[in-house]
Amino acid sequence: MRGAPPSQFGQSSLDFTESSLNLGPSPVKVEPPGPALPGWPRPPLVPLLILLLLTSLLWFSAAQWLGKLPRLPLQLASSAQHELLLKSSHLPELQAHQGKAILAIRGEREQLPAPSGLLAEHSARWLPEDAQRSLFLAQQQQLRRLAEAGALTLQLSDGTVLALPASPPGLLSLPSGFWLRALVASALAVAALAWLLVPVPQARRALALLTACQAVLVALDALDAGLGTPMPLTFLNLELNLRSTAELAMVGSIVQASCLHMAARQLARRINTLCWLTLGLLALLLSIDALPQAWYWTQAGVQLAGTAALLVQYGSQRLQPHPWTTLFTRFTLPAVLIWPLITWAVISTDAWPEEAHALREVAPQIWSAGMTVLFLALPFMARSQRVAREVILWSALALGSLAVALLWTVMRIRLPLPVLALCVLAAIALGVVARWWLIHRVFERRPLRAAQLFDELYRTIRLVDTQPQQAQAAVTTLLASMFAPLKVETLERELRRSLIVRDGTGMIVPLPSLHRGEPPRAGSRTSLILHGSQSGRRLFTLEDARLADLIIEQIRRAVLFDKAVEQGRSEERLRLAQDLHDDIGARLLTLMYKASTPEMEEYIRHTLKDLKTLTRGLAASNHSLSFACAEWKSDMAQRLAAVDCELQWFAGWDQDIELTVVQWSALTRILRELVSNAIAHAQASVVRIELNLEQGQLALRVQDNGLGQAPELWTHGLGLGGIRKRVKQLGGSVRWQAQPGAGILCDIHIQKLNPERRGLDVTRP
Amino acid sequence: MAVKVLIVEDNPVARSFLNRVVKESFSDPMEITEVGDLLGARRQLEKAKLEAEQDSQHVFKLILVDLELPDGSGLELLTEVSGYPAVKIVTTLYSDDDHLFPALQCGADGYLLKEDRFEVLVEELQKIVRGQPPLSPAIARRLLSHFRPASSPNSGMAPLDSGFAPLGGSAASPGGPSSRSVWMEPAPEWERLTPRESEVLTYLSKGFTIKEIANLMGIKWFTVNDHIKSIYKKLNVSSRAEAAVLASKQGLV
Repeated sequence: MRGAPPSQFGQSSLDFTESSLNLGPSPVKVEPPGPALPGWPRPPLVPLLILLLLTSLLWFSAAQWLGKLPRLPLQLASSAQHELLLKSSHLPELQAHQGKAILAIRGEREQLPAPSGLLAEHSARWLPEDAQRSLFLAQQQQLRRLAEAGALTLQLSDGTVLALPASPPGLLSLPSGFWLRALVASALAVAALAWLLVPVPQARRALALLTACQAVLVALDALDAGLGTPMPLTFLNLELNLRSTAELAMVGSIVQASCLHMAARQLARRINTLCWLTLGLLALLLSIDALPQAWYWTQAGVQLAGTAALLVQYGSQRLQPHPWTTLFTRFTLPAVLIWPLITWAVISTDAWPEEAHALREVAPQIWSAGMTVLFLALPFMARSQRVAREVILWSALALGSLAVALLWTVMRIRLPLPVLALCVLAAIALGVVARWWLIHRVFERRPLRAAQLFDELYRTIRLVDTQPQQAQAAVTTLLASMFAPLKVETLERELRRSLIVRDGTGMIVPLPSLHRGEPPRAGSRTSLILHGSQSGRRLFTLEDARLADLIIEQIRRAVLFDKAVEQGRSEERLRLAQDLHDDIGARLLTLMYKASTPEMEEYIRHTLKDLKTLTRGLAASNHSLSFACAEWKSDMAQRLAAVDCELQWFAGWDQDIELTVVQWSALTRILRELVSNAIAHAQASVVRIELNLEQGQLALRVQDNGLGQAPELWTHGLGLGGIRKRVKQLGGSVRWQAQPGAGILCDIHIQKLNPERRGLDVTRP
Repeated sequence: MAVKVLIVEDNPVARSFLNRVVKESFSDPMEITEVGDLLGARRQLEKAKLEAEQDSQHVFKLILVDLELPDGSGLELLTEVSGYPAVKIVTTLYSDDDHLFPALQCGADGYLLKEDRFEVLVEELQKIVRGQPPLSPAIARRLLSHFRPASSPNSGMAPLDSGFAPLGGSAASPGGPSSRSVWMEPAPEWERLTPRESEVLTYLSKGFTIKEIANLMGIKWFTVNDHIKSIYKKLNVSSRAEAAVLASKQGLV
């Protein structure tokens, strides 16, 4: 895993709660609709509502103003020969003449002979030539003068002369396009403010500017639609300047956003400054009409800055991958490719067949709509893969059909109905391919396939179960293999569920609590913070957080289940031990008191002690070697002291291990048997016991100074068989050695005295 | 005047066996009363109390109590006679600390394991009466954790380690046990052991014999015994003080 520079991820661990928990300065706590989305900062609602209210007021006063302006009660269009056509109208007397060319518009005193088809335009923005622009402005001004002077009459190509009512149309007759665009512009303004109001990452400032510019553009669209024809000259000039400035500012903020995550800070700052200066100069020159062919300058400015943004993004990804840069690239690239297409479509319309002219009008509108959808959907797209996938899919579909239609037009093929259908089919095919690409390449979940994930999950659960001290490392490994993050850190924080932090560049996953029933102690729970999904190329989404939650919950449940099973087993063992001890023990005791001979009494006592070892082994789970040694020693010392025998005890270990019940009871009985033999049969006066554990190897030597006999001469029934059996059970070997006149030496060697693992082996096959 | 002894044991064979052990242990004349359950024991104690009003010699000097009785646990009797001026000994088959430790807390002066041989029992009984109570490593370990001030709230039972401790170890964690002692009041007098006493307990828990401990500490073996006796007493006092605190908290006193 690569480390990330502190400027990008280092500070991230602490600043998220402020943004995720605090609802901002608003004194009124408004519950957001729908399920709460954790981790993503939510902007305060009150300023947004205030803005919405203000924009609504603004739009209504704008509508009032528009209602008082004179406007023609009809829609205009332009013919291929640049004649002005009567497209449609809501007045019944005009509807009969739809599609006729308008030869002249007459006022009371003067007239506008040969009105240009340009009058059908609502804005000078998409008129490429300077001559067209000035003609458009001049005719608009003239028409407005006529309209203000009094009633108008139209002279149509079929010779008809129509009188038009010139009275202001009033508030209600504003076209629905105006209201729709006004609504969208308000939504965009609110979105821009929301970006600005949420704390931290600077990318949001750029995004706020971007969205605000789009809001201005849509607002201008709305005003254009509301004004209709004719339009005031001052508005038209202002509108033109505002449009180009807003478009240049948009592309500038894309460059700024691209620079934000660049590892080379100095270079990024320089590029950013240079870009803004150039664009600012261009906008200034355009607004004072200092440049001839202003339209080409605007188009070129946007194109160049967009390309620059793309280059910065690629460079930035090379230096240091960042998911937000990836996201920007995903939208900048199509935009930069489509922009020249639109430019070219506008320039070359005249050469196109008549049917394709609509395309020229539609192309900028589709562009505007696409951008609007993108900016409104952006905050949701980064949060959820599903939304992102759908938005991209539909945008791809729309752009695809546009591109295919353009292609056909360029190839000068007339567009009959079957070909149009073919267009749609091709676009759908493109959409399907785009979907496949999206799902398999861009949103490629994680390098793990489902089978591998199950495998990993199973292994992690077993590891957490058998070695709880390794639990954190195991969960970290699992999450790392699922999300391939840049790095994983621990965080002292208690969370109920996983959180997405730092705009999706980080995810915090709480570690499972393995305490059943009891609430975890304060501060005892930690979380893991994952930085940069897929080595920083992807954003963490809500789906990721929920998946992580599911995985953690599965681990917790599995471990708790195993614990419950273990507890049940130990309770059962305890009950068994108690029954054995109470019933059999009491009877053996009575039997012992009534024993006829001392041998019989001793035999029963021995049995009773074995029973006690057995029951204790059942009741207790584990014994540490040091505690067991202390008990063995104390026990042996007492027994040997009772027969005036000296105990020499030497015990040592390099590591104090936990003995399992089997090991403990086997060793206890071996020792007891050997000491009993020394007392009863050898009549020794000194017993020397040496016990040594080194690197899992246990060496036990019991030596006495009694009447040693060669082992082959020993009679059976001395418990030797029992000792052999238990040593074998422990996987060791035993060896007796008679030292004539110096007692018996017993050597027991156990190769591996490791606490045996519960459950299955977790090592990789 | 004979020394009065009370043996509470439900098994008649064991009862007569203990009777023999007691008789063998002391040269004084003995007046041994045998009962088979708690009810009988209470009746005998009541009778002795009435008689003691005339003659103070009529109290029991030695009480042997079995832990498992038909009508209850010997622990109940031990609690009831905790103020009684007798040597109280638990006779049991259970040698593990889970059974013996509560008995010692209830004021037992020692314990005898019923499966031990006759001679061993005689010797052990004499020792207890002389003030040399037994103390196995397991019980010593229990005592150590009982008297350790930091862990007194949850008497020695270490909380289960979840394994999800922070990587920095417990020293770095702010909520760990180190901070707990900050607000803990110092342990009251009856909950503390002298350094010598805890040293003796530590050695005992590691399986050292009295003699070895005396050698290691450079003191006489009977001084080691004195320490053990004092620990016994403190355990009883501490558990009674704890009970009193609990009782007053619950409004029982």
